Amino acid sequence: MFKLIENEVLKIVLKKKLILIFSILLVLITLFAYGENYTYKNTISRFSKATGQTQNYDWRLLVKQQIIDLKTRLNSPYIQESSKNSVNIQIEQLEYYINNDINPITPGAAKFTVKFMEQAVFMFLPLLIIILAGDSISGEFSTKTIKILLTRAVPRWKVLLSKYIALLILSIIVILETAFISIVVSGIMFQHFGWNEPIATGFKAVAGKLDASNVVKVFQWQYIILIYALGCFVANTIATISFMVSVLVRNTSTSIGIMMAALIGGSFLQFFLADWPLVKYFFVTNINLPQYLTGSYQPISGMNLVFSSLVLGSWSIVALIISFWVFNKQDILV
Amino acid sequence: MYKKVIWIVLLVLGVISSVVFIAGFIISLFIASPSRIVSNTKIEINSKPSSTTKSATYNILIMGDSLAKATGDEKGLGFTNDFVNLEKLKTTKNIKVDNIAVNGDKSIDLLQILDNKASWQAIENSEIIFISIGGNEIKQFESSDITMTAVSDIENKYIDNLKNTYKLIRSKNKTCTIIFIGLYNPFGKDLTPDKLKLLNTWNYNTQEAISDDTSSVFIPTYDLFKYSLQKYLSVDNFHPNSAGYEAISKRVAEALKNY
Repeated sequence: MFKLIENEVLKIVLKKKLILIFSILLVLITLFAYGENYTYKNTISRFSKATGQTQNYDWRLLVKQQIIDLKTRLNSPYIQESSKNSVNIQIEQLEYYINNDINPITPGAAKFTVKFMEQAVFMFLPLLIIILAGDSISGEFSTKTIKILLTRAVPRWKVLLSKYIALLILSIIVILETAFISIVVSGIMFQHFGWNEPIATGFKAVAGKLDASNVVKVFQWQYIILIYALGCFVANTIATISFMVSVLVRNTSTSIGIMMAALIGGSFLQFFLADWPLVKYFFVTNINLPQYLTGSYQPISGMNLVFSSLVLGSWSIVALIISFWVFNKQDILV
Repeated sequence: MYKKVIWIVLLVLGVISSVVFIAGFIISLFIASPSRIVSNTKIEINSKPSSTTKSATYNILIMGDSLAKATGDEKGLGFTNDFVNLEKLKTTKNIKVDNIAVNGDKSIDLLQILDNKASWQAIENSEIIFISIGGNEIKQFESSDITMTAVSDIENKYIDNLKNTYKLIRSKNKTCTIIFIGLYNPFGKDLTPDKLKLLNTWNYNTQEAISDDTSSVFIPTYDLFKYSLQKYLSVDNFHPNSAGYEAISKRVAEALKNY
């Protein structure tokens, strides 16, 4: 069994898919990081032009003013008890910037890495996973190697299981690759990491409103792990579903096509979300898991991290059951 | 051999990171789950500003909108600065400035803020109260399609709110001096003459409304900004910059020189 998994992993690796994914990531992340850096420099030059300060604009004054504003808001009777926590964290965050001489406007590698995953998780990451998983079974049919695979003295389900486990291992590797490239590229680009900058998380929707009473402070490096763990879960779900599709369809391009259509069509479907509650149970509407941790999250009633994870988990289980059932029953005619 | 190395590296990486990711996923679920207990958060709620007794410090209270908040002032001093310096020479007490202004507030919001025990205490302890309000209301007049009835409606409500604000302050503190900062025209020549007239009427009506109160004074700023918009306005072309605040501040100090 172990040998089988090793065999399957090496099969995918030797197809140079990881290198393909690596280069796609490298190009895109470099572009994004460059863009981010460019915007930042632009903002600074515009800011210093507008204020008349020729160089070295003092961001500390700006941040101090923000802190004073927040503190007044805390003391103002207007504020609700529940939002005090988040204001306090914001103040703490800004004070940390001043005390540690970190310019909060400066983009950091940690911040960029998180941002990249937040943006990649609902389209780009699934795409990479589909490249990886789209041909795992159908590829064997296309190249007629399925015959050799199944004439070995191992039961069919073992063959399938080893393929599935290999896929899971490689999708985790893709996540690691993403994190690694983001950190290295943006680290070189920004010359600033910011692992220990605090960040506020834990906003949640209660009765259609944003509830900030449970906000907690975590460090950027912890936050990266959280976000990438969610990304990994999404990647595994997508991998499982495209695994099923590749069992059902005996043609690699069809299998990739079906997954792409589901992905892109699914993101259109989100527009009808409010009117049609059934859309909530489609996997594509649920893959944006990191949004549940960020503060900029727009609440949708009835959807939260637990709900979305359950939906994705059920899709995975059903997809697995279907793939094993079909693969065991299927007549293999080559 | 080469394949073996790749396989082992991938396997080890995969196992380690899947453990880390599973842990991260579970923590995320906890963070985002509705029934989480807040006990493990490291949050200290700032205590309210300690209410000092009347005799110990010389309290100045600032309330109102973004102008009172010193928005746009690069130095963050606001329009009370010169007066505070002046008062420092006169009194041996410690001067304490409390600012309860909130950006974007209209007169109704100010009234809401004052309708609170913490604010009452601040009012009771104050020697001088600065108010700047109305700018966010008159901002709406700049749009060209506002009807005269809407204008007078807004203005009537504003005057009502202002009178109620004064009543509320006086019910808590009969002796303190109230300084009201008048409105200036931040739009310069872009403001049509009829709109300019509205602004002047607004200032006049404000002054009249507060003239019933014997220990209150209206500080006009319209004339200050009339020819100095370029110099006195901040980047947003609406709030004063630090020079603008300084000009208002000088005027306030002048008015209260022999106070």
